Amino acid sequence: MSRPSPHPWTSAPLLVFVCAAQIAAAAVTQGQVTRRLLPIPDLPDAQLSRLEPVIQRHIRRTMERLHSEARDPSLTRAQRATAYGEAGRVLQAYHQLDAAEPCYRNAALLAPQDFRWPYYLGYVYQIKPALEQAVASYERALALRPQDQVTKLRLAQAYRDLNQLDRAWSLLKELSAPELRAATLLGLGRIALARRDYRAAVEDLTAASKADPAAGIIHYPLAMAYRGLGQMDKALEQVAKRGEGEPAIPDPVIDGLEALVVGVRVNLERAYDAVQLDHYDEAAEAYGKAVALDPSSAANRVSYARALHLAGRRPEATRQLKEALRLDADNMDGNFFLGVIEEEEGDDQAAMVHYRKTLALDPAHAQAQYYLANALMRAGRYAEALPHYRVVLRYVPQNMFARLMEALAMWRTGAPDREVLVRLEEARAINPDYADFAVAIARLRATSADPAVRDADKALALGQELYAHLRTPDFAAVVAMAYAALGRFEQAVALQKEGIFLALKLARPELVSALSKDLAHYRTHQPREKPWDLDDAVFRPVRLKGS
Amino acid sequence: MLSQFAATYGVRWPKMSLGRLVRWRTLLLGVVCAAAPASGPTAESAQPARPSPVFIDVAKDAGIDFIYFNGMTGEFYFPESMGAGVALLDYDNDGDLDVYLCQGHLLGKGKTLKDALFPPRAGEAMGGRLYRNDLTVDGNGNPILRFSDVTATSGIEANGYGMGVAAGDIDNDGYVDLYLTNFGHNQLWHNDGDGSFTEITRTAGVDDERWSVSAAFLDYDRDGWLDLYVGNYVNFTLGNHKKCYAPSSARDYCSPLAYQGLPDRLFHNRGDGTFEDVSARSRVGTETRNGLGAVVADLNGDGWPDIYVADDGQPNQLWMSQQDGTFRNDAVLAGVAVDMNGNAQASMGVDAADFDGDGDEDLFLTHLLGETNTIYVNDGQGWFEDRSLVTGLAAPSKGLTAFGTAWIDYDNDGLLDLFTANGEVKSIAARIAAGSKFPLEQPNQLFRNLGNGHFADVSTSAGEVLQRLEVSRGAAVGDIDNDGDCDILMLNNNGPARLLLNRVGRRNHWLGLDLRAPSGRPALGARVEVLRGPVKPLWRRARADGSYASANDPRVLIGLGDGHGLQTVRVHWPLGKVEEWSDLAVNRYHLLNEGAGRAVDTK
Repeated sequence: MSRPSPHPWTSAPLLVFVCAAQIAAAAVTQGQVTRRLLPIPDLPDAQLSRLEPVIQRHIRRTMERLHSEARDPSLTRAQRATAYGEAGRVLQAYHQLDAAEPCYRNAALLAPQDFRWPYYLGYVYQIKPALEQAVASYERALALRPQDQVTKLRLAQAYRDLNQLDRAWSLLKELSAPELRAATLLGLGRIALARRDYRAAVEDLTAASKADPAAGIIHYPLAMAYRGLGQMDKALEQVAKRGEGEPAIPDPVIDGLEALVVGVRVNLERAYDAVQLDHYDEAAEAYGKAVALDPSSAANRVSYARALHLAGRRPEATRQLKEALRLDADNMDGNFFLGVIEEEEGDDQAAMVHYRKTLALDPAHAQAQYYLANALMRAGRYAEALPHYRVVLRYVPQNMFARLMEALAMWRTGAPDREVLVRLEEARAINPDYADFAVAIARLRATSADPAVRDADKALALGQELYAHLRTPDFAAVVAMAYAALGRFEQAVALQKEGIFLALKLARPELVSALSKDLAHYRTHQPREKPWDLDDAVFRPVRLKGS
Repeated sequence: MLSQFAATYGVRWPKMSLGRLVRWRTLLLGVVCAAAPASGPTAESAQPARPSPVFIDVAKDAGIDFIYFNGMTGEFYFPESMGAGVALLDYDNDGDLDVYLCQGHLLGKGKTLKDALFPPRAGEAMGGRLYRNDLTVDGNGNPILRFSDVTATSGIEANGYGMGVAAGDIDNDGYVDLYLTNFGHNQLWHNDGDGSFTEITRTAGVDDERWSVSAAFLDYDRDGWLDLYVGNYVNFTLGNHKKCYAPSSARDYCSPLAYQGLPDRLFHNRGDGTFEDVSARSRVGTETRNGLGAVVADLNGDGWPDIYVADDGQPNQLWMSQQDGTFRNDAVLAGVAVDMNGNAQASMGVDAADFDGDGDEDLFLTHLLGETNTIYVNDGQGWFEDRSLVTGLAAPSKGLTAFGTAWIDYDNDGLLDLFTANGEVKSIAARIAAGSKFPLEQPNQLFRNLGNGHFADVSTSAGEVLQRLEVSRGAAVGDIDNDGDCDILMLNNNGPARLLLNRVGRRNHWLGLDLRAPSGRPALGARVEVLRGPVKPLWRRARADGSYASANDPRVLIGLGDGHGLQTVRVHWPLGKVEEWSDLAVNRYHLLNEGAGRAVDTK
């Protein structure tokens, strides 16, 4: 029996033909992909030249490398994909999103099974915002990694932003990662609120808040949900807790971008983030790096100094501020903060010099106006302090202590009692909860020589109202003062003793001493003649204290 | 302490997490390029002809050739990025709307025009401009629009860094006066009734030397005299100017959060040509915020005007009248301080109107790229819900920054639509790449009310003029050619004024009402109820305020669709009287004086 002839498919010519066909097909596919690739983005000089020089260099190097690798025939598709993708990451890290987009798109074309590229692309689209494209990209990423929880969360956010609430809700319901629990529940709660399903919103948002108590942003939608249910007390409770922090979303893919960046600005951003979290040592470290990179920037040194000061490192802060002012004597913040430190160290004179310098640079600097006014009051220079308090109130009308001091400065510079009373009563009408206005009014009414102002009965009523609300030495002293003004010295003595007793309990020796002086007067049937003493502890601005 | 730190340092750019990006006004290098209008029919395809545009720009043809000069010299002074407002007013009482345009100038000591990056045209007169409308009608009844620059003869010398304008008759002499807000001293110009104005700022006692933007006239105490609200922005001065940077590290304009906010002002009109500063006593001046847009309306239906302030980057303020000369800020619990997520937004423009026909005033605000514009729907009691997402207004606005805005019924179908004037405040990478020297340009938008609680973005079919890439800011709406549809006057930052004439509204029926108080001045705040048989009534309001730093036509223009069913017009006057008129002819304006209608007993 002869051997059968070889199957035609296995004959050599055919084999060659098939292999060649396969190679050709691959080449065609490769060619198709190559033809579909987007051009490498061009970042014109007009755009790059606006960036920090070290960032410009980094981006240029990145793009040069990409050009080289894109042309390199020895690289595999996967390697070229990585080249495009890594360039996209650098560009994204520097917020060059328009340029990052084509890089990611090319990377995704060249390596369609690599989850990273459609994910980064989705994130870029979400920021731009190009929401429909974000959805498409995230969906692609999810198809590659169906269980990826963060992608689901981001996709759900994009669906929600497009008002596709059902899809967003379904996706969120699939999430189970504990580290995403707060963000997930917040998303569900927000959808429930949009649907006016207030009960569900309360349930989800309450759970979200429990999962991440630091996420202050949750309280407002929760307040609105309670409001929708008519539970106003609970709504008000939530309103009072309203904050800004969103639940954290641990995202190593995106978080990894930060490691790519160099330069001053990234350190400044890190520092600022740290300040927001009250991590002042961390902020100081980041500012320190920024200063090291650009020692000539007075502004950055001032920021550094401020962080050092907040971290309790005053001597270092002072050194940095002095260096900042050496670089730029007219740096407003530098002058101001040096004044603050000098005041904290007890040197009002030096502080005033720097506050005045600040105001010479910016007369509308409300804080400098305020601190200067307070320093002048402490120095007994009331006429000089008064106009500064008035400027403060034009810019910061809710500064109640400035209102009080303005009235006091008016009185101490000889303004008629009735004018002072008008100011105090206006202040009290604006903020009836600020008790010192009532105290000042009562004292004025109890002691004024102006019959249009003096009204010891009203003073007594006001004092009694204060004391009934809260038993403090100051309030007891007001009642005593009113009693004395009415000639009821026995009661004045009794109340004054109560005040002294309360001051002793509070361990306030300066108050004990002041109250004791008045007690002596009341015992000899002498009422107070003046509403305030010069060294009155309540009606005197205290010096700043450092952290 | 953090806010002090924040205000001191120009650095405001957190690391890139989505939620905080939206909230902290980072540089979002969004590419916003409107799709080019569809091309016309080709030989191959039988495509339908393009619909006629809703608006066309006739500014130059009508004689308004004006460019706002923001004074940029490369120092990135904050006011340069903000742009200014416009006014539509009938200053000469000839029945048509005249125009006032704010103007800027160079900023910075020692700067000259040589330093200006975009110097004004040679020979261009600077300062705010007043244009008189010389509207005529041709033999076919078609309006011919023509404006004349009458600034010189008017006596108005507005040489400050112009931001905004409010229009109102402060002395009830029947002639509308002007209050101009500036970066710097403001001005009150009294209309003398003979074509000229006199500045009375000092004698009236209404100056404010800080950075004021929006202002509004209102009769907050219902004594028959218009009082004045002035919104102040931030405590920026040339002396405290900071260097700010985008997250990319490029130098850019600062965020308002880099500076302290300022308190607003309320001035009570004594009725004798002078005003009393009641800012503290009324409480309106007791908070420091970054006030931009402002609107006055009775938001809780108690008959007293309330003031809503759009604050930039901070919670908005809702000053509810306590009916005793004081106000209380109820914004948070009322649901209008922040968006539904709890984020304070960069609010710029605002308008109030009844878009859903339930008889109360709803609020619409414009915001920054990355945020959405926001619609707050009123429940009738002064509580609101953010319905931006479900109405379809959120998504199309996310990629744009909007300033001026207005509720307008552009097609007169009886449903209030929305217009937004857009333009960025931070450089757009795509515009830099395109070679733009002022790379903040974006297209404007028009949203059509579908009548079912939803809106459709019809911007791309509204005309080429809305698709232009410009940096639009102030916008005032009104019937400039008296043909019964709502037109738009708009001003671009570092760019031209645009007069967008409506070409479609008159295809439907309409009713125009000029409401006058007993003194003869426009009855600002009067509400109009249009009864149409079994169909629910339409509600409109006579107002000049709203938008961004601008003043609107105080007349009430009501779209009636096919016009059938109009029975009665009922006017709820600001001081409480209610009167009605029947058998008003459609497609024309009617002058309705308080006291001349049929009284309605509302008890």
